[in-house]
Amino acid sequence: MASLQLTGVKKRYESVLALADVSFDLADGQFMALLGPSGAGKTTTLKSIAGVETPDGGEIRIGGRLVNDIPAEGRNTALVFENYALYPNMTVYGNMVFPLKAPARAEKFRAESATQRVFEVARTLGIASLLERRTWELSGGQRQRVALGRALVREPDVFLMDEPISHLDAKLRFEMRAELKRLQRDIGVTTLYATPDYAEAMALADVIVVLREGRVIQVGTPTAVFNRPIDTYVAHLLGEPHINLLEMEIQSRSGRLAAVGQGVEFAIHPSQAELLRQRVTKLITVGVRPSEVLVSPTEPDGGGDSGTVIAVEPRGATTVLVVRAGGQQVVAKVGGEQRLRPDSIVWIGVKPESLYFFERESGARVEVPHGEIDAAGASR
Amino acid sequence: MSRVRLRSVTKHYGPSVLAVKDISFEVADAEFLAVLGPSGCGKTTTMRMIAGLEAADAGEIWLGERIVNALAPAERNVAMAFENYGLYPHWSVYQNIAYPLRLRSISAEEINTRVQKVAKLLEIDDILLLRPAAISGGAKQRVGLARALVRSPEVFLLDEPMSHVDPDFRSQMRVELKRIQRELGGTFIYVTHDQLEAMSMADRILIMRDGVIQQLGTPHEVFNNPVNEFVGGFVGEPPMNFLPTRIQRGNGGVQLSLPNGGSLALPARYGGVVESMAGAELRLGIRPHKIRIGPRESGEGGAPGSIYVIEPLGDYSIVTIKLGSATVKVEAAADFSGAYDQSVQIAFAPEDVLLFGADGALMMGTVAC
Repeated sequence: MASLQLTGVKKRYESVLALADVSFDLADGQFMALLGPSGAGKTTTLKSIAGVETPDGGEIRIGGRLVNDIPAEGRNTALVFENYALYPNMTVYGNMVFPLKAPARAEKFRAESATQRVFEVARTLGIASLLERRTWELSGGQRQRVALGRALVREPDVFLMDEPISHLDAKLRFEMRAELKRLQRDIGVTTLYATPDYAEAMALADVIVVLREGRVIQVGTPTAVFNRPIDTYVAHLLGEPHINLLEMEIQSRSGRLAAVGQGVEFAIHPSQAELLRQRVTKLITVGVRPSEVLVSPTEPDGGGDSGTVIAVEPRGATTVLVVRAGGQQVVAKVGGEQRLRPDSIVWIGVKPESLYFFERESGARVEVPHGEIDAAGASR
Repeated sequence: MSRVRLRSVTKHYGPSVLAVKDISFEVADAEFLAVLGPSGCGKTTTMRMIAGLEAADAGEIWLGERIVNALAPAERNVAMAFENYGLYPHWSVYQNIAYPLRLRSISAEEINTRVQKVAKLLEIDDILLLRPAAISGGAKQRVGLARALVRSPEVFLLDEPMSHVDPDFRSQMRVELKRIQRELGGTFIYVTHDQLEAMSMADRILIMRDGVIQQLGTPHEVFNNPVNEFVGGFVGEPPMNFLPTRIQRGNGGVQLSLPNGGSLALPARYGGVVESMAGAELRLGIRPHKIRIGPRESGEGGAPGSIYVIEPLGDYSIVTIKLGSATVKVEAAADFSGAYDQSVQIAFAPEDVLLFGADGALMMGTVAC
């Protein structure tokens, strides 16, 4: 096990700039997710670390050692692909011992110690009783363990995973995600995991690195990235349904501040007012998560903006509503017991402390003191 | 527009594969029906028989007031969109969408209006002049969908029409498609393996498995009252938890055992049904959002367990709890915190529980929905 450090890594494929500037620190034993859409540079980053690609610039250090000039087989990383790619006709033992027979490692793991090592790892992963089975006989969860086991027998410094569970059916994915998180923690192997799926990144990782067009744009714990997105891009990337981003303006209403736009008005929390006061009459983008939008079929005591339900998506435990209020379209996530129909008239509101504010032009979030936002986050 | 009826329809492929087994159902005029199931359940075969691309071995297929078994696809007046595009490669996107209208002696002006309108709705109006080879898989699917929607047939048949569309755009398309269906007043049959698509768009969902209909009901019905474990586990995310349970007498009443020494009062609605089944092995279904982590309050049931994994997801967390050898997933607050292997109690109310027999079928007694 070891730490991993990237500093200013760059990579260009002819006319395409794949990595513009990638830097991050992954501590020993940590689980880090690289999150971004396709083309963000996730796979190129993994390949550069594994030594399958050569970066044009920057430094890659594994356990403090500069590895830029070390070939792939000398780096001791384990690259785990989509669906884990096991050899279906080999036994579990055959799959797991396979990497130890590679010429580069045959010296380190002689036959006896190789067998020993496979048994050890199989015991850790709870698959010792499966060693004689063929992999096609195994359940999805067992296959995941075998694939991780095959990578582990080599005692890699770093696990590099490229969307290993994204193509599984939904039910299995839920199981495997939890299993993978627990296994990584029990084994303590440093892991870098690439995914376009924010839920996977949040569920699994200790730290998320958000990549966009070959650049790191935010690094933080899952909750920090979700609750304190650096800009509208990150705010939109995390959360389903997506955050509402409404074009509004800050106005002063008899001394109190409000966000106003196209027939919709939200009160601003006193803790945020100080910072926003200098932006009165300024155009701003207001963000509100669908789960923070309050929807009422009758006019609430404090008043509110009325709107029309234009779409209803029942999901079982929750229902997603699309409401047109004034000139704005607002998505709300409410309880599954809510039985509104299209064309119903509703009132919408938000908890003032749940609003996010972004510069209209740059999309950057207006910094509000962290303590305040933490308090808002805790009230969710 | 018209209703669609299938009566005792069966389809084999070769001597050994029974793809669809004696299915009967009716889709009302202007209804949005989703046909949901895993791959190999017979949903696509069913769709292809309605379209006329496959012949049924037995049974009747009705479109409106006609039996259409003997009619060719072109004679059935259905519009189709499939997972794999079926676009003409040498034509532009515009020509592909306009094609079904050009066959029908509609004026060029009218064709243009309709193509532009549907292209705008599906956000492909900027690629109308490109050839299919120049656009992404997701865009091709949208073109296929536009080509179906540009017509006004009796029935729209859509088979996984969004599976290659970028997930980001898919949620927007779900809303649009549902709205288009309401505006057109069209009868839609929509095949999908994605329970979220089925739940969010359909008036009713037909759930299939191994060529057999499992359940036909509204999204609320199939979510709250699944007829068997398969439906309970297939609809809803995260999936429903299933635990082994046994009926036992104790503490002055009939109880259900829970793993790890836990127990639960017998839900009232099961009283008459299972009280006499003492000792019988059943399965208990409980949704993740109905379980609390914390000491049980009066009237609740519960069991001791330990935290296995915590997955924060922003709006909420999924917490996996080990109850001995059994496992449950719980939807907990976004800021739920706890340590790995920490001892906890889970609790839930008897009325939120469903009981399934050894054969997987729901025992009598349903949840209000």
